[in-house]
Amino acid sequence: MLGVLNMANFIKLKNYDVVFIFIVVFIVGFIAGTIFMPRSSPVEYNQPDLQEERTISMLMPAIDTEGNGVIGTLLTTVKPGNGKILLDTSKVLNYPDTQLSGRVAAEAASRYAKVNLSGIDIVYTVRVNASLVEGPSAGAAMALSVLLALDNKTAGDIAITGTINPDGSIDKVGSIFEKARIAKANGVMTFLVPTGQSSGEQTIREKVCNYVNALKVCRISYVAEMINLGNYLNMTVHEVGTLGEAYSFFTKRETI
Amino acid sequence: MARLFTEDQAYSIQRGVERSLGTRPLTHDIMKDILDVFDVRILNIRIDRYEDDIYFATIFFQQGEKVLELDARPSDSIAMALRTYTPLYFKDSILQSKGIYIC
Repeated sequence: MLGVLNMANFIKLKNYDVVFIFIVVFIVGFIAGTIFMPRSSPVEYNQPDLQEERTISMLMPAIDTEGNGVIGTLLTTVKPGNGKILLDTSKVLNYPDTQLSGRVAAEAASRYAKVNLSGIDIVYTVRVNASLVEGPSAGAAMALSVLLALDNKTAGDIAITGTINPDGSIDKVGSIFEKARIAKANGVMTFLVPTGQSSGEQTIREKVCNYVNALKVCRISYVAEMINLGNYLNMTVHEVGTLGEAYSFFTKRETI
Repeated sequence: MARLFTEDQAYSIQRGVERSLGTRPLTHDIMKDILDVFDVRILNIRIDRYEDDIYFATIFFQQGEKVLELDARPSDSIAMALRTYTPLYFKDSILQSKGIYIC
């Protein structure tokens, strides 16, 4: 301010001229800002064209209570209804965070596809050979399965792991190595993982037992090494940060 | 239940919760390996006593016909329970008197 006044003095402007110039600049700036400010137009949510019940199936790598990888199947059914979101885990005990994931997944899918799901019932059915289903790591798969079902597409040999947020961002999960390995063993050719999880230091516990005469001798060692999942398991692994990025692998649709 | 653990104890419990192996095995990882190889299983773990601001736990081991009842710290007990998928029981009166509702 002092510099401006010094400059005004230098070019022989009087104080009220400076104030006037300030006011004019402020008014012009305000008007320009009002005219050119980007406006957020209200998002229009369409009613999906769904006349009949559709079910799609996705392979879902998971971890059992002993930390081993197990393959599950996620069957997602969408049908005309009134906005119910149900999770069926059959005889498998499930934690509330898995149920919450289903709800968040539906919201993320709704926002991404800009569809109103209030007239649709979604039923997630989890079939897995484990006694307990816990954790939110099926969230991304649930969201994708809703999109695939609405678009009447199939998952094919692509699987995904990751948590989902309502804005469609996908977050990291644990036991990525075990999930990738069990996915590969069950025919998954392309595995989508959260950003930053396609490689990392992995400690592998190796147990080898042999018999020396009648004596059973076991050796357990912990080997830590940097592993690129794709190279190590000979499968295609892609990192995805959003639901849109992940969905493009199913539809080959370019994302913005 | 409010309880302060040391940093090492908390780290070991955290690794158990996350089911992650660090670069090198911790004491509880080694103990789990020993139990595994020598066919010793933990039947259950009980946090069953509280005296003079100290919690006491008991770990019940079994190998074949033998059972060992071992006095232990709750921190070690929790770390072992997480690694061996063993049920962990709190004495109801301790939970009632020392427990804190967090949700």
